[in-house]
Amino acid sequence: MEILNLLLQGFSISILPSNLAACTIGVLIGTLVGILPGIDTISTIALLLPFSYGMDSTAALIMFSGIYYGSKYGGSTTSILLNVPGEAAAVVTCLDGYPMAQKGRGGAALTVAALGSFVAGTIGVIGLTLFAPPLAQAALAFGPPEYFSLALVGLIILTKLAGTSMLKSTLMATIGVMLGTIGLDSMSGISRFTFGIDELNRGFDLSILAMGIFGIGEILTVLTESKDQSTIPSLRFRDLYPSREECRRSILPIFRGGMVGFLVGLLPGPAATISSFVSYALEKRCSKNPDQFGHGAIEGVAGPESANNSAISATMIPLLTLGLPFCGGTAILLSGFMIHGITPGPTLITQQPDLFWGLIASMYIGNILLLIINLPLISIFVQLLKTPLHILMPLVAVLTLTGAYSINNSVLDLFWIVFFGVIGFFLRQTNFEPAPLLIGIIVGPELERGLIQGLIISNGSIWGLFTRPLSGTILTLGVIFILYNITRSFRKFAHLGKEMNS
Amino acid sequence: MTEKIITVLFLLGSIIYLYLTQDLTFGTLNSPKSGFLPVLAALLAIIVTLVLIFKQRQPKKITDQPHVDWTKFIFIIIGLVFYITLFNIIGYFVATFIFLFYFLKIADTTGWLLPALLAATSATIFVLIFKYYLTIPLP
Amino acid sequence: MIVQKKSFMLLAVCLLFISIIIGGCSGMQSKTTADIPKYPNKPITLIVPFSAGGGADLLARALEKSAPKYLGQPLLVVNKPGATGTIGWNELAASNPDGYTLAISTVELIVQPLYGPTRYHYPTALDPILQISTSSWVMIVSADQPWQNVADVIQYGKDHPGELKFGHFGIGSLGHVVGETVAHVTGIPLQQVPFRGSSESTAALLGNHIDIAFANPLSVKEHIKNGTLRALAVSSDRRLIDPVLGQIPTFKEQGLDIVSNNWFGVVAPKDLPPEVKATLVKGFKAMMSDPEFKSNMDKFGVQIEYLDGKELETKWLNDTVTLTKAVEETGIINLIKDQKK
Repeated sequence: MEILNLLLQGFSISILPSNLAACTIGVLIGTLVGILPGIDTISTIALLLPFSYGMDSTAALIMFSGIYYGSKYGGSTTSILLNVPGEAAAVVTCLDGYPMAQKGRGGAALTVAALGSFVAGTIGVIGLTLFAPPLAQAALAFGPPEYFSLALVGLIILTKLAGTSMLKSTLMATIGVMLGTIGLDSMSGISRFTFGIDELNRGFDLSILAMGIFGIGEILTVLTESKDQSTIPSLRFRDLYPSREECRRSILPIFRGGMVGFLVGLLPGPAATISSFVSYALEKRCSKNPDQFGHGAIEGVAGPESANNSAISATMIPLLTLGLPFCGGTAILLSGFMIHGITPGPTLITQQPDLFWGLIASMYIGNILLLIINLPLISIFVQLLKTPLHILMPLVAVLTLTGAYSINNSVLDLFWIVFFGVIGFFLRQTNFEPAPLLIGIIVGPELERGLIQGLIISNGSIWGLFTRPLSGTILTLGVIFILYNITRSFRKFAHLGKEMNS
Repeated sequence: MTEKIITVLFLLGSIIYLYLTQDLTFGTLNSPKSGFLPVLAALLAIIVTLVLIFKQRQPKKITDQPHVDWTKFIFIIIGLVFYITLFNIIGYFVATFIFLFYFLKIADTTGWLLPALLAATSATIFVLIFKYYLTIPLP
Repeated sequence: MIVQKKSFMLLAVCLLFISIIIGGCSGMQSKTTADIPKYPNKPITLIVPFSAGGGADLLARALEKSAPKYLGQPLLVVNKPGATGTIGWNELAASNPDGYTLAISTVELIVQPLYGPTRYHYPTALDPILQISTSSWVMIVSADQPWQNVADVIQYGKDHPGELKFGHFGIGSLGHVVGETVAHVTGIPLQQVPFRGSSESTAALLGNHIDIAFANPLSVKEHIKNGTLRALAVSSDRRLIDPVLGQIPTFKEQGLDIVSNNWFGVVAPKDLPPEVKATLVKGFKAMMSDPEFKSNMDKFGVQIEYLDGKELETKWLNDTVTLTKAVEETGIINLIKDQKK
């Protein structure tokens, strides 16, 4: 209960007016960043770093953290309302959130997303409070061979995510992997498939791909299909909030998402994005009506949105306890720390308890503030749906392109967005699911890295990857899962065969 | 129809990709080099696309596809490309204004004054939000 | 419908026409502006060829803060990350040498041209303005390991050949070069494990997946202080100034002739007008003596060390020779070339 005392001490620090103000400003900016497509937390925090020189360190860090986790609240807004993801972690929310909005349940989706984010975010912070040091050690036990196994199993399992055609999803995932290999390879030091174009050396940015395929693709689809401009049923007050049934169905996904997101968040890489995919797959498995997924199942919004928020809390664990940033967002937070002369690491908890617990306490407060900010905004956003599409779409296009430019200041990126937008358009026309493409592009490089590093570590023996305890366990579980699925499909076939014969 | 074309395009893309991996060394299973994963991925893609093409040869029942307005499509693409090209040349505000006006007209907004006003106000708002509030460098 | 389509096409053509004209006009305008007003008369762009939050980026933002006072114009920090800095430096080399585009330079500038992905040979295509700070690399092992200094590691390496693996933050990067140089000079076989950044390699080291790692001392300072990692040597000429890091002996002290430094500076495209260069040098130098800048640098733990343009250029050329030799001797060049047929 020592922890409780420390936490209370932290609360007393975080309610100091300057810290509270910093928290509020931080979450406000974070929400804005999340809502606007393209603008990402990394650049925003980087831009604000110099301004924070004069601020008190604790306040500055509270503000930056607020921006960091706040952005995951707003990301779902454009996904649900416009099928344009605000950032990569919100892509999965498009899959079920947008169909819900089309049926007039947009407000409900947004509310569930906000509530789920709050609950899971708080669960994440609780996990951070109680288990930070041991979890950090556990995270360290995962080395390159384990990342390889996780990537391999993850790739196979997650490809079953969306859509009905196994072949098409596999193709999309493979193409994603191929796209992920373009650029300067950190494992070999050479550029692959770049045709001598400098800017391709960087490879494809995940957000660019997501905004192109889903964002511009959606705009193209909407503007060129000549169905009657859908008359969205005039929204009644009731439609702003989820029904009893929807609430009931969302409870378990929110908690499951919170747990899953937290665990996935400990791993390196774009944790929030991966956790949203994993949560979606999990919900689809656990649901009694998996066919609804992709057509407006509320679990498909509740789970992923919760997962990406608790993942964010989990990514703070390696940062705060070990001083190691496992993803871009925490890397910039690390710089924020260092600018103020604080180097997070194993001694941060003991040597700077005020800062550490103050920060954690402010995360609880921040989550509450975000809920308070986001809920009323929902009614405003839902009004957006009333804007005629022919005015909304051009604005969204400009917004997306501007936001995308802000990521890398590169006009070539914008061309890629349009290019992928065209591809996304055609994918939609032909029933190819774009989600596995994103999975491929995220997991592919991880797979390759894990393989090459892992093989060096196990002295060139591929068998070594299987015999390491952790890695072996993951692979065995994966194999069991695949076999289970194969036998299930066989049984289904046999069943069908019997029915047809009888 | 479109589905078959897309699948064939993917097949071509994978073959080109495989061709390009000629420059990369494959390595061995115990010591993979830069060409390892690309080659495997390309082979898998080619196999899957071939299977898909084979499956698609069986005539598909005609589903109700919403009619696609291809001319609009081309115009939108042209507009986007021009916007991006002009982005750096004539500055964000002007490019955005022109583009918004053009796009609003393509999207069938009636009249001339409304799009112009809308384009102007939106462009101003965007510039304000991005340049001044978020201090992002825009051309 | 047809009338609508026709008028629409007319509109589209008109608009495109107008935009091309405007584009042309503004293009012409910038050429006719005379260069009479004193430099600098508009904001200066500072390219940071690394992503936000890294060492180079932090330095740039610290400079950005004090620029208006000492240079008279604000500095626009623009991140152009990718390919270990080559994207940003390529852009710099291609821009106008009028003093309005600068970039942050690090030692990677020297090695990258040796591997291929650059369009210019930086030491000859770029003009160094000044050096701001220096740093070096540290050899770390996990605290669980029994080795207390480099000699212990050498002994272990000789007794168990092929077992030791070291991690670094990128193929061809200085961490890789230093590691291979250690292997080369000491004669023990060290297997290199490439990672994407020093936090990944540090994590692998802490998890005992690799035995040794080479990293930027600042990023592992806390661990060294806390005792979770043990630093065996630094690769600088003399010990570092920082109280914690100053306790680490150098490679030289332990009898190994391994010296490798990292440095941060400002660089411009070649053929800068001399007065422009002089103004820049004066301005940046003044910034470096600014107390606020100094205290910020102290907070980061960065060692400020000023070298003016000429001295930096000499350093560049010397480093190019040393590093080219190191990269060839240790076989790194061949490792990279092997990846392509």
